[in-house]
Amino acid sequence: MSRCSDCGLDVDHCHGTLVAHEDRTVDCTDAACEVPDLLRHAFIVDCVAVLGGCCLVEEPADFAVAS
Amino acid sequence: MRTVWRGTISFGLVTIPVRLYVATESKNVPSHQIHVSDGGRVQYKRVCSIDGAEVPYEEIGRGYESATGEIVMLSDVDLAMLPAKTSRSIEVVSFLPIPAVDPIYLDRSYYVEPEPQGAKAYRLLRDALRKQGRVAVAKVTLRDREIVAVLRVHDDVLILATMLWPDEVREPRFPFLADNDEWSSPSQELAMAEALIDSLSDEQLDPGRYRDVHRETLSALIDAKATGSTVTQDARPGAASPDLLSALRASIDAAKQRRSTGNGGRRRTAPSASAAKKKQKKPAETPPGADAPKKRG
Repeated sequence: MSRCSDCGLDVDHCHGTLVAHEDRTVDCTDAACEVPDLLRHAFIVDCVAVLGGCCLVEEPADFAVAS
Repeated sequence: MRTVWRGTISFGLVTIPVRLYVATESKNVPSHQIHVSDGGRVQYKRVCSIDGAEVPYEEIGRGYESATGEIVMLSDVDLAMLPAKTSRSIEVVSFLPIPAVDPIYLDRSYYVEPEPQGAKAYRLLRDALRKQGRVAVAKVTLRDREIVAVLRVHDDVLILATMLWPDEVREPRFPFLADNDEWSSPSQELAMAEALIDSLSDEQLDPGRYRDVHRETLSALIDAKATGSTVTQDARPGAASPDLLSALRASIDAAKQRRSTGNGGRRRTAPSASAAKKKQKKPAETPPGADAPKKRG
C-alpha cells in the first residue's frame, strides 16, 4: 500500500527524487518525469547526497576586457 | 497543464478556491547520461546504503540532518505536528508596489486558476491588483516548506511567484566592492556609458526578440551527427581589447548604425496596449559571430 499522500489528492506528482544542483537546476531520478518542478516531488535531495557534489567551479573564460 | 496544488487564496475574509500549474518549462535540448563504452543510458536507482537493495517509493522516509550532523528521521505524523497554518491556503498578508520586489528574491512561478465557484472573487482580486499596480504578498506552505510568495497579474491570470527567504540569497563578497567608496567613475566615461544605455534602451522587455542560438546550433549538430553529416562552424572573430572610452564610443556608433538601418531599432516610449497588440514581432536578434552551424551532407 502506497504511503504517498498525493495519490489521493487529484494533483499531478512524481514518485522520483529530485536532485538539486548548485546552479539551481534539477534532475529527477525518474527518467519518465517530464516536469521536474519542486512542487511535484515529495523527495528533493542535494546533488552532494547523490553524487558527492557535481558542480565544479569553472575558471573564467578567456575573453577580452576593456580597461 | 496539470494541477500540481489545490487550495485557497485567503484575502481578508474572502476565500478563493484555486489550483496551481507550473508556469514555466525548460527548453533545453534533452540530454541523458550515457555509459561511453557501450552507449547505455545511466539511470538513478535509490538503494539502501546498508543492505544495497533498491528501495521502493513507499518505503522511503525523510531523514533530516541535525546541528550536530546526526540524521534524524521524521515521519509524516511528526511533520503534521508542525504549525503550518497556511497548509492549504495562500494567505495574503500585505500588498506592495510592483517595483518594491527585488527580482533576486523571486524563485518559481505557478499559474493560479480559480475553481468555478471562485472565479468572481478571483477576477476582483486580479483587477484590483492591476489597477493599483501592486502585488499581494502571501504566505503558503508548499511541500512542507512555509514560504513567502507574491501574487501578481500576468496578462489576465494571476501568478504565484514563490520567493526565497533572505538567508537563501547569498551575500556578494567580492574584493572590488571594498574599493567602491574610493572609486568614482570619471565623468566623461560615465557620460559615454549613459549615452550607450540610452541608445540601447527600451521601455518594455520583448523576450521574443532574442533567440537561443546555442539550442539551435546544438540541435543542428545533433541532427547532423545522427544523419552522418559533418558540421563546420564559422570561426568567431577575435575580440580586441580596446581602452574603455574607445569601446564605449564604438558601441554607441554600432547602436546608432543598427537603429538607422532598422536592424535592432528601438522604440523610446511604451506603446499603448492596443498598439502593442498590433505591433508586429521584431526579428530575433543574433549575437555577432553566432551563426548557425552549416551542415555538409
